[in-house]
Amino acid sequence: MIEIKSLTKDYKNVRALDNVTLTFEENKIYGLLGRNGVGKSTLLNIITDKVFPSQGEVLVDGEKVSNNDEVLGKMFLMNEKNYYPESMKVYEIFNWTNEFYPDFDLVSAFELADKFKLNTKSKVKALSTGYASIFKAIVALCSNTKYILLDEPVLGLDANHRDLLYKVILDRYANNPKTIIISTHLIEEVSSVIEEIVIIHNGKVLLQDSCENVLSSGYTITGKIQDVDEYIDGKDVISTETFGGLKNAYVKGKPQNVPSSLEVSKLDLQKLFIQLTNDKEGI
Amino acid sequence: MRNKTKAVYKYNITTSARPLGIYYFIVLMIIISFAIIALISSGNTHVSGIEFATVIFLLVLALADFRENFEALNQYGLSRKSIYVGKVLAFGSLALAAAFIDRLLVIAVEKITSPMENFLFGSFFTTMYETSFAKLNFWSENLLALLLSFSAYLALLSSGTFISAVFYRSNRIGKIAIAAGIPIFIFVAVPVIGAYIYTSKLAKVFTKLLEISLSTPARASVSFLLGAIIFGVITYPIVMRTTLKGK
Amino acid sequence: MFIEFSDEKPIFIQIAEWIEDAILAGRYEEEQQIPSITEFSVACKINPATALKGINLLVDDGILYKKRGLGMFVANGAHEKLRTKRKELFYENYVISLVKEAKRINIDKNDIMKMIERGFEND
Repeated sequence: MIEIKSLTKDYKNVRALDNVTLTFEENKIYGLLGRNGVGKSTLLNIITDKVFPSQGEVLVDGEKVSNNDEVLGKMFLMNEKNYYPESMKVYEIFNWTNEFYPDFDLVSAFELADKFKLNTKSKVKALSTGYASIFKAIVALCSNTKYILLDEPVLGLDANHRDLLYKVILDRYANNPKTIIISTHLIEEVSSVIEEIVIIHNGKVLLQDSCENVLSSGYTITGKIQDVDEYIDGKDVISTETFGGLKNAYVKGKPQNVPSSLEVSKLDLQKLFIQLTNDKEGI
Repeated sequence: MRNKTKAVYKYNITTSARPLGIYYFIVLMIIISFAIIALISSGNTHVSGIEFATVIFLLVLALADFRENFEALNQYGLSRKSIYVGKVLAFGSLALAAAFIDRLLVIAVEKITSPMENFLFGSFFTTMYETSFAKLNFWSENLLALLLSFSAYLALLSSGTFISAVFYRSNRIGKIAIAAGIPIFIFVAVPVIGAYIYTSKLAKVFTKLLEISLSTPARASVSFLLGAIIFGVITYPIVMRTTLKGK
Repeated sequence: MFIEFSDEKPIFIQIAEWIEDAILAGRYEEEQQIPSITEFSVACKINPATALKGINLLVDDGILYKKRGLGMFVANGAHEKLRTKRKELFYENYVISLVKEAKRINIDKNDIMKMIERGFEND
């Protein structure tokens, strides 16, 4: 279990994290969602002791992380940026990770590289953004640590590779359960993969709940503008949008006595997310 | 040694081995080409100061190494303490290895080229402390030279790591200040201050101190080792507070 | 194996319905093994917990059962059970709304019967 207790991180003029308290339980896949630059990377870096908090602390299985090789060895963070030596080759980094992580699965690492057509003989600096993500994600997933933290793992990946990566994550998870935290701003496509949602915005935790609870916390109603307006009157509406005489309304709660002229469908996670994290910037 | 520290040590040694190999390949090429020049021409050829070249090389190595090394080891989930301890042990071995190689090179090249009268290959330190070394027999001379180069190399590796650790932790303005400050300090401030204090009482104390600390090979070794330890010790809290920098 | 998820229902219900359809269509016979949780999870890109929840719905209904150490199997009599269940659903989902709509636009019972017959002939 990773416990984050009243964590605050101040950079010069910015408060990157503001009194964050969170728990990541064992053997669950988490989606750490938030727009770019809201503190997701900072949080992951603090959890793994790469960056120091200004206040608060992180406990992993009840132990402090700072300067604790044993605890640090239980976690693997795939950073969004590349911090590996640029002139090193992919297979060399596989081998070194194998030196530092006793449970690293070297065979699977090469198999996965094959699956993604990643050339393990190429240098890190020669990799495209997509392949850099793939290579780092493979290293992280094969580390077989108890906690795997992935910061924007699908950055630069095409649709096929994204699909494949999610399947690989699920496959490795299903065969060997562990805690996986996926930080991303691409919500819709991870929503079926993750079990728990954590939404971070402006350094604060806006929401932490199971994906299922969030999805069943509301619904979408579609129909003619007038019909929809009549129905949603007095209800807790998350947001609405209109197009060509039709209106979509995202409503909290359970649908009740819906007239047959209206259509009910499930909550759109992306819409909920946008609404929650909208700072009223306008268009 | 704990497993993690061992792995860090291995990592450091492996990543330093390549530049070290390249360096000695170049050194060997230079020696060979000068020897050939000496063979075909009648003029005198003098190659000396291998240790001085190694000192410069190791300083550059230490300066260039910190960022990449820290960031990479950080990806492998190591504590700062392990990174530090692994580095100290690796740099100790590196200084020792370089001192050994340099000594062997000096002995071997002197032996091989002894029939050549117009080719002279000398050690920087034995030339510098000629009178001290002249009194010693073969074994004592080499042992002392080995100790002297080892401590000098360690001091350079240690101070280089200190500078690059401070550099890595600094913000942009700090980086510019360090990058510009060191040459300015060496080429402007030192001569100016030197000229000013040359006549002062302080200067006399300072030069006396320098004289005492470097007067004999043994004293110089101790001074270098002390320098290495001081820089090593003050680098520790810096490494312990270093955070991964955004890119 | 492909399951096209729609937005209308939770995914775990769609998983359960997919298995039901497959049993009704005879793709999985009684006493035959169905794909594992892992296979569902990876093939459909869904969290294993979601797949498990869908499968558990059918276990509760007696459609599937677990063989320890082997996996999930289609229960004896599952086919018949599902047919009965679907028949009931057919009445609720289609017949009731059909009658409701027919009344609204004034189609009488005989006309509906004829339409249904026509539907069967044209099928």
